[in-house]
This record gives sequence, C-alpha cells and structure tokens, in this order.
Amino acid sequence: MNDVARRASALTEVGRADEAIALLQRELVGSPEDIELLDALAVAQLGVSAADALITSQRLIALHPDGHRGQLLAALASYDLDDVKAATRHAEATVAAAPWLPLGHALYAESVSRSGRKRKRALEAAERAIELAPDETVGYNAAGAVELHNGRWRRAERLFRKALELDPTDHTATLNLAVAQEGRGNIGSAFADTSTLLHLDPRDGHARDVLDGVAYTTLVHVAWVVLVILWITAGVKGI
Amino acid sequence: MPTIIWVIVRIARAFAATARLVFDIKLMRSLPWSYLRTLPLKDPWVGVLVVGIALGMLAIPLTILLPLDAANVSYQIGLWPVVAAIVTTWVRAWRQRRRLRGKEPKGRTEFV
Repeated sequence: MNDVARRASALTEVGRADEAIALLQRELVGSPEDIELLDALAVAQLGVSAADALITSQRLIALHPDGHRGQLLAALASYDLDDVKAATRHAEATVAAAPWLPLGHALYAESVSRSGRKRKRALEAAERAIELAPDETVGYNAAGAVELHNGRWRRAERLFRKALELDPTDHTATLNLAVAQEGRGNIGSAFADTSTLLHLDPRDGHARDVLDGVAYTTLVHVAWVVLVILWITAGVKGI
Repeated sequence: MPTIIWVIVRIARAFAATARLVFDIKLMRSLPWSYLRTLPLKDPWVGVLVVGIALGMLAIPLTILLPLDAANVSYQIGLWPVVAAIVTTWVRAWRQRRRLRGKEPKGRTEFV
C-alpha cells in the first residue's frame, strides 16, 4: 500500500473519514487509476456517503474486474443504500472472486435474508463464514441476522451470545441480541442492553432504533393491561 | 375458541412483561427517560398508544368513583381510545409483516 493510502486508512480508522476523503481525492487527481487509492477512498466514503462509496467501488470494479475488493465494497455500499438486489449480486461476485473470505459469505447471507427469501441458502452462507473464521464474530452475526429475519428469536439470541463470547464489545451483536430479546418478549433485558449502548454513545442511531422498538412493545403491553383493568372495573361497577 | 385462547395468552404476557418491568427498580432508574419522553411526539404510532393509555388510565378511577351514569360515560371515554390504540398496533404489525417475517437486524457485517 502506498504512503497516502496508508495515511488515509489510518485517518478512517480513527474516525476522521472526511480528512481521509479530502486527502485521497487530492491524490487521485494525479493518479486517477490508482487501485489502492480508490480502495482506501471507498472505505472512507462508506462511513460518510454510501452513494459515493458505491460510485468509487464501481470504478474499482471497472479497473480490476477480477478482484474481490471492488465487489465487496460495492456490496457494503449497496446494503447501506437498502438496494438488496445489488448488494446480493455484489456479495455473490465477492464470494466467487474470494471464496476464502468470510466477510463475503456473511454479506451474501445478510443480503439474501434481507430480501425475505431463501433462508436455507442464507444460513448455508453464514455457516460457511463461521467455518472460515470460527474465532471471529462475522459469521455468527450473519447467521443471527438471518434468524432474526425469520423470527427465530431463540436461535438468533444464541448466535449473538456466541458472537459476544468471542468479542464482548461487538456492537452489532449487542444491538441484535436486544432485538432478539424483544422478539422473545424479554423486554427488560432488551431495555437494559440498549440503554447501556446509549449511555456509551448517546448518538448511536441503531441503539435508538432498537430502544424505540422496545419502548413501543412495552406500551402495547401496557395498553392491554389498561384494557383489562377497565373491563374488570366496568364489571365490578355493573356497567 | 382459538381467539379466546389467543386473548388470554396475550393478556397474561402483557401482565407478566409489565410487572417484570415495573418491579425492576434498578432497570427503571437506568432508562434514558429524557429520550423516551420525546418518543410520542416523534413517532405517531407511539403517540396514538400513549394517548389511548392515558385516557384509559384516567377513566379507571373515574369509573370507580363516579355514580353509575357518569361512570358509564367515563368507561366509554376510556375504553374506545384504548381499543383504537390496540387496533393501531395490529395495523403497524401488519404493515411490518408485509415487509419481512421477523425483525430487521440493526447494522450489518462490519467492514474489517
């Protein structure tokens, strides 16, 4: 990796993606077909603008059609843009170009399951990711996401717990464990997990989404309780 | 019969979940109340539920304390907003189920 790409990657890793993008765009004026610079630019753009990341990764695919990086980055960007079909297509191409890469299988599993079909195929891809990286969370998170999509809360919960055994700080696993717990009706634990995440980062949008869902479920329970108490009151009063 | 069983199970679940939550003082204290208080204004589904619950809760003591005729009016004023709120939860669930069977996972596989 050249020096500029390395410096930009370091900036992206420490959350200074805007600076990384500016640096890379300046450098790309002189060498617009530098694959390393384009790769680093797409990675930096993923956290800022998925649409820009998709454009950059498509340039990367055009320059290096046999490589897996462009397809992988395009799959991630398409997923973030909610373009499930494109994400599945790019994830499939990633798996074809780099069958040894667990991330490609995990992304394929998540994209396929998000389209709402082919649970078996999605689970097979997630299991392949687990086989390739049994000590990493990536496969377990993907398998858990597939199970969440299919409403299999217990299985999803078990998979996210396994991911958290491997990495107790895994944000995706913590969030989705709360989603699975809410699905199972265990709202206390779901509240506790999301509250902890929000205490750590009050701007965490995903944690807020989960908290909103748990709060809504709680209110639905309370509405039923109020309805029953009203019925009992009316019965006692002879209405 | 299946509907009656469903209603009984639903009510039992609601009471159990509410009781578990309300009696968990430590958890109740740790909740981000300042954020939760803003939800009814941000999300109309939550807003409808909160209004229904509030009217229903207000109607309970009034129905107990007022004379029969007035209690009947209070009961009706409490009952229908709660019923409407519960119906909106089915509408919301139906809309979501059209999109997916289970729940949408949050976040995606992290880029490594």
